[in-house]
Amino acid sequence: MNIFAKKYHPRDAIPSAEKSQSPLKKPRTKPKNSAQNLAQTPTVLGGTIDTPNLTHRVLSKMAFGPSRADINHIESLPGNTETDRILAYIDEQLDPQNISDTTTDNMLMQGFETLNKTQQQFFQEHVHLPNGAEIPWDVHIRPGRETSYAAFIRAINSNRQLFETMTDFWHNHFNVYLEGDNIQPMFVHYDRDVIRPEALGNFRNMMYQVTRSNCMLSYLGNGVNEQSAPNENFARELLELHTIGAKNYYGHLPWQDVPTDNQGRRVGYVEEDVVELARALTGWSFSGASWQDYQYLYPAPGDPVDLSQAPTGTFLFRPDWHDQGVKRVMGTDFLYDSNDPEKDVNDILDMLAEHPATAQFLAYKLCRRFIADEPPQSIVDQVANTLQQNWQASDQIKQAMEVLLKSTEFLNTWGEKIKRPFEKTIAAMRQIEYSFAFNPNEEYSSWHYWGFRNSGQPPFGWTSPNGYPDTKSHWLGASSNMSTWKFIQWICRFRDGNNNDASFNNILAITAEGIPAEADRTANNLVNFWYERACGHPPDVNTQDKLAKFMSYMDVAPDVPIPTDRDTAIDIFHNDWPSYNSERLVSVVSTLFLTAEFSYR
Amino acid sequence: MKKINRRNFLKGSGLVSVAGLGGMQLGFANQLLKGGSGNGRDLLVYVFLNGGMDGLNMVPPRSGNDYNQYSNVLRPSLHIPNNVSLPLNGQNAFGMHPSATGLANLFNSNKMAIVHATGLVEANRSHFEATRFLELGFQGSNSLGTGWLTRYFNSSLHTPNDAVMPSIVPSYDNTDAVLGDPTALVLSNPGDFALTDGHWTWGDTMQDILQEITENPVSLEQLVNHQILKASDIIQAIDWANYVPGNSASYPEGFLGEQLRMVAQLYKSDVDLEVAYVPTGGWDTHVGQGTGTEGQFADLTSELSAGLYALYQDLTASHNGRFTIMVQSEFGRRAYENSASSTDHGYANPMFIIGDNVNGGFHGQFPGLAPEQLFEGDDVNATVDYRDVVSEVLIKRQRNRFLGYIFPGYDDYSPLGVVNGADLSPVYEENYDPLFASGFD
Repeated sequence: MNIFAKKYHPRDAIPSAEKSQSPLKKPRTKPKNSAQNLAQTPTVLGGTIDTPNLTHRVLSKMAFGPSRADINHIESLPGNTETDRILAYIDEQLDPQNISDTTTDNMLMQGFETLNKTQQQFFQEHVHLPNGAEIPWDVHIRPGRETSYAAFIRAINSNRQLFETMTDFWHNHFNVYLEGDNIQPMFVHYDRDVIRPEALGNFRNMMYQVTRSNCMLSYLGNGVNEQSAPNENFARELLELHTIGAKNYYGHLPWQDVPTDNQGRRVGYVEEDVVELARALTGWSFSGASWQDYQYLYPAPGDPVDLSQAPTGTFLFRPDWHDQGVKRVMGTDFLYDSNDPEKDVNDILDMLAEHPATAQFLAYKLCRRFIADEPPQSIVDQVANTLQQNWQASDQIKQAMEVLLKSTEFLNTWGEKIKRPFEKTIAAMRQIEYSFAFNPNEEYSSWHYWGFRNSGQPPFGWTSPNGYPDTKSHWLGASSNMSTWKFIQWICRFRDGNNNDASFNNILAITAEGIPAEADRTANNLVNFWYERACGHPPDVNTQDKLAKFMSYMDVAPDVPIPTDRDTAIDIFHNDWPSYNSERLVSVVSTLFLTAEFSYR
Repeated sequence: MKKINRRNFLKGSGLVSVAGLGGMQLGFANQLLKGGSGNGRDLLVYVFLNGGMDGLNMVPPRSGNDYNQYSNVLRPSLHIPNNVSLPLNGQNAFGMHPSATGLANLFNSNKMAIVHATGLVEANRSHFEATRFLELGFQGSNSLGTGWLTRYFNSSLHTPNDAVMPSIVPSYDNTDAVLGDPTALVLSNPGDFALTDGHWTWGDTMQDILQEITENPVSLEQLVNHQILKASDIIQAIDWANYVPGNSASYPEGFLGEQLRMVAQLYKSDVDLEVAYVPTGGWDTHVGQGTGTEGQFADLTSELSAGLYALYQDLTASHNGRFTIMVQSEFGRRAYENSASSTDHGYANPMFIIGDNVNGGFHGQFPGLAPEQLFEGDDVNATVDYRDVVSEVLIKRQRNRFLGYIFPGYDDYSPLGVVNGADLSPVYEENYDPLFASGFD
């Protein structure tokens, strides 16, 4: 398994949507700006950013951005103040099983064929057929593709927004690269059986399922970890990325030199611990990981192939591969028990799950995800204590998230983080009430899948085991931003060519409802309405000026558009040449999704 | 005095600590639009092999005790036999992987140096840690807000203040090597780098309006938007579709070939390109590594070798002696194979330096593969601080001697003679001050 592989997709092989083509103009090939314009230098930065109201803040951070439905729902909750209602919303979100989600459920029934298969079915129908016959590529990747589409559907539409942001968090924590060898055919299993059941549940349980899943076992090579020469890949990441954390890695020190805490625990790990854990994990494999699992296809001459011997993809402990010696991990000896051969690993997982360093590491990552790139230590400590004290509780993560989400640090912070490409795109989709169904059988779905890739954050698309970066500095790159912008441009105007060019966005209806009097639909008002809705506060003077100028363009018959009066009503349902009022409104709306202010969370 | 403005800009923007990335130098693009002068700086192309490249199979031993250890003891099923590895000039101790024909070619025509057994001063087998140390140019727990290339530019006295695009990272992913440098452009799809997916009527307008909105940025995020849109104008002025490489060089199919071709074209477009940081992945071969010309390692090697060979051919045609290519990975791999006939993380590794001003051949000391010679009995031990190699290129080719500022804590520069050029006495002062420095340099 090659975890750093970048799959290369030649451009012409990727199905994509048609570009909008002008009958009159050629595509832009040269900059129109004057040199003077280009030479202009920004002066000193030092501006403050505006802060939206509490509901907007909270929905931008614990959800994939505000939607009309969620805002209306919060307003209907009991409570005298906005804060009361938000706390009620947080309580509701912490119990996702009690939240009805019919829109999402219905969308997941349109064209999805693999979401209910068993782990064995995924292996025997999408990885390796029992009779050894070839599997067509589209069948092979189907479960992975369906998981990706489901991720879009759930992020956009689910009422269980916290559950979806938590699922996203844990997928990145226990990252498995979707396009790794034989991962796509199994990925529904990883999402459904490993990550989602414990997204607000218990970390130890999730880690145990990760350790037994053929997705992680093949991604990090543990499926072929034998005692004759242990493969350290998974063991190392289990310590460094999943539990104790790189901050507590003492490199090549002897283990005896690692300091202990007041309860006698070693506070960190060293190279020897990686080797010892790798030994413990020898034999933790799955059916189908070894070449020997396929020998049933070659019986003695004259004998029939026994299809019941076909590999199943499910967890398989291989006793002859397992090192039965004592493993000393972080100063503690772990013994093999022939009556319970999984005991040594299970005892180690207990040790890791209970360890305060694990709680600190998880709490830090959660606070970094939901609060700030550099979260205050005080809230990290509170979340860590909750995780550590409840490490065996079935609702351990829920309890920790309640502490986090009801903290002043969470409720009041703004702009300490930016939306990454997926969050930005989904937030825009929620603003325009994007109704595309992501039916896996429709070609349009693959246009979305491929079109979004260059953003740098396709679902489950991070190749290495540390998950997508979660700080601003990574996401300010030019390619990633431009590609995300272009995708947002595209979805804002994407129409259903199979259905009379019906729009997938609801921009016109939202506008009409938000500004009921036709006479009020002026360029100024249209810009102010949409900007406030998307960014949570009124635009600054310059931004308002430029967007309103754009919204007031009358005419494009000559090459230069003519801005006109910004206080005259515009018929937004009129979409004829040369003004294209409807298209222009769509363009203005998609442009404000590209502003810096929309990127905050 | 040129650097003062640049530094003041960085200070004023608060970006040194905030770590903003993703734009270009706020410079005079009209220079480009008029056609360049052809007098840009020497180019440094730094290729980073993410994942831990297996140097022992890239440059395998061919004779003696090391070969015996390698082929019989450490890697009975994974070694490259000495009748399969490619011979390299002037010696028979080491050869080249059979898929690296381009590299062997460069070596045998004295355009490539191989430095044995380079590494971090302290071994670290974590990808993420070792990579971060290399990108930041500092090994330790101090949290630096800048990468080594950011500090290289901050202290580069000759980089024009109005350089259009001094550095490029042809990638979808950012790197901490340029952390805190708002002028580093992280860009992978130049032919496609404009807001062209709106309705045709308003396609250009959207980009123009957005540019007007971000004309005077007051926040980091606005600055980034501003930079991206400026970069888009400049990038679009280059004819990406019709590039003709020099010497009829042929870049390999695949993303690495695209990255390297883009670097060459950008350099030749006179946008003041001075550093290209090229990340390329796939080298973490815990399973399925393969031997000979089969398997993942051979495929990657073949692509890398063909890419570097093409880049050299392309650049030397028009810029002979004006560029240096450096190749490094975060660490080497374990000397012995694992149960999957592949390799786990290790320590020291060879570095490659390619160019017309390179002293071809082997440099440094190979520490040997006998059990007592291996680091902790496991890995090739490091005998060369990788900073010695990078620093020699910085001083002799890039004319930057502020080594203590670029690599905090580094104070024993020992050049190996890998490249030609006048030596400068290194400055180890960590708190480099360009105001002071520009006074006497």
